[in-house]
Amino acid sequence: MPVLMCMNCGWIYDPTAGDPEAEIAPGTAWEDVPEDWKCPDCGAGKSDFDMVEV
Amino acid sequence: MDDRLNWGDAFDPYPKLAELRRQAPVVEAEYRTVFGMSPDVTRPEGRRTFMALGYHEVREALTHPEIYSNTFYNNNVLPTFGRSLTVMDAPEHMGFRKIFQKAFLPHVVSQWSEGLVQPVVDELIGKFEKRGTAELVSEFTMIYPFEIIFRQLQMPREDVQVFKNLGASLTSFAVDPSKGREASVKLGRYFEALIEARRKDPGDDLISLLVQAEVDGEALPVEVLVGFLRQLLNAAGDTTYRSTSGLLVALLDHPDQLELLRNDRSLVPSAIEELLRWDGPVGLQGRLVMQDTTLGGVDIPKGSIVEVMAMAADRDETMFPDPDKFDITRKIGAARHFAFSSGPHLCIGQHLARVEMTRAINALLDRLPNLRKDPDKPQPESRGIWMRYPDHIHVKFDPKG
Repeated sequence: MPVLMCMNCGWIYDPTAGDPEAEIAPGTAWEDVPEDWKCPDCGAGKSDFDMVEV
Repeated sequence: MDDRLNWGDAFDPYPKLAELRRQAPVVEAEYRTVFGMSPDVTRPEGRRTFMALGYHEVREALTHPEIYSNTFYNNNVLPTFGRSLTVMDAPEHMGFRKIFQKAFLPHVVSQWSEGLVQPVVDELIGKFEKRGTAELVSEFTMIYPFEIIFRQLQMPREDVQVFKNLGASLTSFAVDPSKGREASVKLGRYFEALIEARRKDPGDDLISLLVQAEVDGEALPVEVLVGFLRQLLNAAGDTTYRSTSGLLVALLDHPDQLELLRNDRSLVPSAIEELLRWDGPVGLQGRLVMQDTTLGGVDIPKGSIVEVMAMAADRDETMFPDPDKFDITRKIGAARHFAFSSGPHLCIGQHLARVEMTRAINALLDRLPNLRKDPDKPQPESRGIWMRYPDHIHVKFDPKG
């Protein structure tokens, strides 16, 4: 199953959950997450995320 | 005992921390003074020190490295671990971090669960499961995460005991830095030789993987790889042995929670997260303030030290309802605990720690029926500030068969 993973820390972006603490609503597709959003665990940017098979 | 002088032995520091936090989320104080500990001999003199205690203030200090710098660790971690990730700031930090994190991503470490972690857990429990009694620190928690590291590195068996002794000396930072530096030199020589051997004849172990890694087209500097390997013992061993011990103490002290977990293993992930929040193994981080700033309404001048009290933030009642209650059914919401820190220096090994603790607690519950504290022996108590852990966990159980 492919997931979007922060390669700097391993946090997984789940579109069904979003990131409410950063006002990214549940159901937000990855492409709709703002470019200046940061990984909530480590602070890395969107460009540090990759699709990974888990 | 050196360890207790270094890490502290406070039984329940949480009420004092809560009292301070209710005064203000940031206070000018040093935790070692607050808790009557011997001074940290590596701290430079003349610097003002502030304790960050509130959830938001701890998060801010950990997620703004441009203000709150890891060069705080230059006086203790740098002379002992060497040039490890802990002492780095941007821009070099992230490039090196990603290399090491790649080896510990969740889908990578999950592959070690069955073939590497479970056999270690099984072998250790097999030695006492028929006895009906055990001391779970010396017979289990203090051994298993280190054994996993030694197997990851494919360390020669004859080197293991010396390695353990040197690793223990490395972290007596606050009380005996000379012992730490001596161990650092010896471990450095050992690792350099091992790295060279694996470069010439690579295998499928962690060191072989890392010597082949590159940052911007160049091999990892040897001193960075050696620094990482020195730190691995503390970062992967000391921490997980203590968190596993802490989980066992918490469950034994809350037999209703232990029974709930025994009967519903789907609660294992939340039990692990709740222990990490409620009584995690690492109580705080240190940061050096690089510019005049304000945190929690308190002005902090450049050059000050901030003691980022993760253990205080993890019981902040504004973020965690009924924070002093150990509840393995607590929902993991927006409030994340700081047991693995936060921000750029977030623990690289957190996913492996969860795999190890999961395997350990499941196996202990499976194989030690009616696990309970041994009433005839000293009772287990988690103690400490910088790190928290019990010295022993004497238990009884009903051997199977």
